[in-house]
Amino acid sequence: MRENLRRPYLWLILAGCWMLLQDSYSLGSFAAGLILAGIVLAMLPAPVVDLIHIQRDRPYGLVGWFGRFARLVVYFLYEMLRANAQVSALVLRRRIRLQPGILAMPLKCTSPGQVTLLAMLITLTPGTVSVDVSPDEDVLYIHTIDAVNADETLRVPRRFEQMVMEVLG
Amino acid sequence: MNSLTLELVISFLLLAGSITVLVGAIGVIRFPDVYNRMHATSKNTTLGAISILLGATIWFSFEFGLTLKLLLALPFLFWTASAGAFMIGRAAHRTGTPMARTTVRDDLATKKGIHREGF
Repeated sequence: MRENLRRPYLWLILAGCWMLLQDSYSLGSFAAGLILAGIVLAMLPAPVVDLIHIQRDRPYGLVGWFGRFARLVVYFLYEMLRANAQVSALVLRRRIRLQPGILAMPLKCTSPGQVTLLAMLITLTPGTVSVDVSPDEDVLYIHTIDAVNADETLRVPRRFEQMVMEVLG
Repeated sequence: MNSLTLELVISFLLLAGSITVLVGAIGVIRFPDVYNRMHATSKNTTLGAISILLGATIWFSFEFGLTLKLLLALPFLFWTASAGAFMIGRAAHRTGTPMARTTVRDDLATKKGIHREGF
């Protein structure tokens, strides 16, 4: 619980959630949110796993970090629209022809936060759903609807991995 | 922005969202196995819900003053949809749920030393 209290971003996230829930964006509700955040964080029995572990080295500076984060979000939204179009087109076809399979993707990223975010992004992008992680977290197993052209299918996940590593440490 | 264009935008968002979710639901029926069905559920329901939420946010903001409450649901939706798909797929594979006959490759099974016919 001490570790939870020592992470400012947890305070800010909870206070932000409180302001959104209350639908008032004044300094007062922010203060109330901070107090509630303190209570919640102090009462949480286990430390929250350090998932949101923002790139400490920041080789590109703070502005560069935000730029990269924004690029990741935009690219993700684009890929998500593409994924929906692809699945919808497939569903509405008269005969569904698939060559599905599970591919192993060796991971370059190592921290739990990076792997989690990557698995999440992969699930929502074209043709891929992450299904399992190897016990030592160095291989991600991805179910895909086109397992024949494995390199082509894994192109987007690899690009995501690169971007995730730039954003999270 | 006048209210007609606003209503058109809202209607478009609501309709597009509903259709996306509907197509996802049809996909759940039509796809051959659990793993493929996860594709339809995770991707389509998320985008559909996002679209509907955006439409609702715009409408409520227009009628009752700015409200961002609904946007709070977005990040949770992202996390739960993908985490859910991940857990269902993983549980299915661990309990040996059969894959579609057209499956061409299963790296996860070969890793575990399971031999299935065909690959």
